[in-house]
Amino acid sequence: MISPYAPERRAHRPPTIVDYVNIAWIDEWCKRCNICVEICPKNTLLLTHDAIIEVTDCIRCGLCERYCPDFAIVVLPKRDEAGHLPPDAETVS
Amino acid sequence: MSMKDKLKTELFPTIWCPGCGIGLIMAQLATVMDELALDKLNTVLVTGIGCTGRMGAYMNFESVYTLHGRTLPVAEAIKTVRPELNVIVVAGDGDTASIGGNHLLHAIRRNPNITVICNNNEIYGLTGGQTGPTTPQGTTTISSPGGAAFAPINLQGLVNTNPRAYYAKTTVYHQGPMRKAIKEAIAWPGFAFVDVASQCIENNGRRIGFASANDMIQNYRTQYKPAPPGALVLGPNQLGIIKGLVADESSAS
Repeated sequence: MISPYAPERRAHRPPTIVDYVNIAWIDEWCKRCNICVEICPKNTLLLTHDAIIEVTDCIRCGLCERYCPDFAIVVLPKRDEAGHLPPDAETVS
Repeated sequence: MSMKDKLKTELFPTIWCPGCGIGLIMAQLATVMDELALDKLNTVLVTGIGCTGRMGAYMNFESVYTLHGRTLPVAEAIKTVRPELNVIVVAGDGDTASIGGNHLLHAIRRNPNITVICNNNEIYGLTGGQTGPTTPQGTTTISSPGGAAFAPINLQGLVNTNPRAYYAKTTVYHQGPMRKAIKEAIAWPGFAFVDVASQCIENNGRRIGFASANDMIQNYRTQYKPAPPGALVLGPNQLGIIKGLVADESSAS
């Protein structure tokens, strides 16, 4: 979609969404403010090489999603044993 | 329907600094608007100048980007002409209490049915971190290196000069109380004022000793306590809601 306010701007491209096991992280929306890394009670997230990565021990508390000011982290629905998301899972953006 | 339907996500990322608390207020406002089924046909956002004023551009509503400090007269005018609309004012503390302070006084006096959500970060953030009217006394800013000289303005006392007004104080850490306060304020028949303390890490927090935005959020968690039930006046670091009398038609003169 081309913005009606500045039609000379490039057309909107959907952001890059990185799916981990329990969270999805949106690259272009994230400003690397480090809130999610510091607020995580289990030290699950890590900011390294200019990316937020999920390491281990996620307890799906949702604090990173609640306190992200840029809407850049979403807790995914619970996966089944084979590692697939439920088919009716909402897309991120 | 989800909260992101109320946001213009094609304009993301937002222009605010990393760690700014305005995004948290926008998320809760969008959630409340989604729960109350407000859409662009029955709601108008009026935003002021400042960092907070950009919230109107990122939400899927008709919005008025007013002159500096003149959010409340514009909102009153919209409410007078189209009384069926929900008018929600989103402004910062500088816009509401400093340059728009006189309009705030008279909006409180006239008691229009509008909702004001004040992003109170205790600094003039957009212009680089000067002392504002809500800066606590003694805070070091770039315009007061020896500490702010005067005590901050008492927004709660101002709003409560109208016995029918609604005042709520929350922080960005306490998101459930913030959501409840915004929801009640939109439904309140009269002037409703939600004072949300939020962090400005780049222009305020780093100069007064906070290491990161999360430090400021955790500071809200440890410093702010809920007011005792039935309190008529909130203390300096207390969260709570002060409801006035509900105006009824018989007593209005």
